[in-house]
Amino acid sequence: MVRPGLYVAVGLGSAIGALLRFACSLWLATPDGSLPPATLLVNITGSFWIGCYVSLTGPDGCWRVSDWQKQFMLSGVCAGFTTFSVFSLEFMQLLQAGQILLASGYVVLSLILWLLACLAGLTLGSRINRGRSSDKGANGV
Amino acid sequence: MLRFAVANTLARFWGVQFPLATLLVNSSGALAIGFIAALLLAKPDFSDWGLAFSVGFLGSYTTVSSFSLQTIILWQSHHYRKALLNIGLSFGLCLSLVFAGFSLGNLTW
Repeated sequence: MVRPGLYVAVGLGSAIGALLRFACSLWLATPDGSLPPATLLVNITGSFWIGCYVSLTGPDGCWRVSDWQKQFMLSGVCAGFTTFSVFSLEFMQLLQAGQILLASGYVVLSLILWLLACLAGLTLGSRINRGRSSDKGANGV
Repeated sequence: MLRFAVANTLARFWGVQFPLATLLVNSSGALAIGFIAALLLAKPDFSDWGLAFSVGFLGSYTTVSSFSLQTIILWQSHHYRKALLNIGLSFGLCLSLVFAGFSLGNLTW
């Protein structure tokens, strides 16, 4: 059974993530005939951050967080910040506008960049973890 | 919270071998946003609430970060086929369901 407190954590985090995403979409309007920069940005940074956070808080990680904090960040902020539905909608709108090349480019570019960003986040996180643990070793702590 | 509930329920029944929950959440979100997009075109009066619902609620319901993370983790744990299947199914389902939702919406409104 999932504790109700975790739902509160996820709900709060999702709301914060969604508001941040909304702010990005106000800040970065999509110029005519171009890829939607706001959606690309939130999905890439969200993927990067989830990778980073997961490795920093993982079994070998140097951050100790509670379940509440973890769900708040992962199922809340990250998941609310990134969006697959708006991405799908934008793909459809590009296709409907007859911009087939742009639409397929958007899909391919998104997939590659999301996965690379997530991988980069995981790698950065584990670098930081290793750095921290070797510091501790050197200091004899 | 709805996403979390769907994910938890599915995880209980299916186990966590394959990220079905994320797939289900993203596909249903794509279907719904297509449907709402058709409503917005047909009835511009609803545009404020419709936009808030689609970008706010459905936008947060679906997720890219979990998809990316789960795909990378599948790949790193040598489940290459599952990782590719996840990519194929996610993109295939979401990008076609958004059209399905849109056509459904056009029929309805």
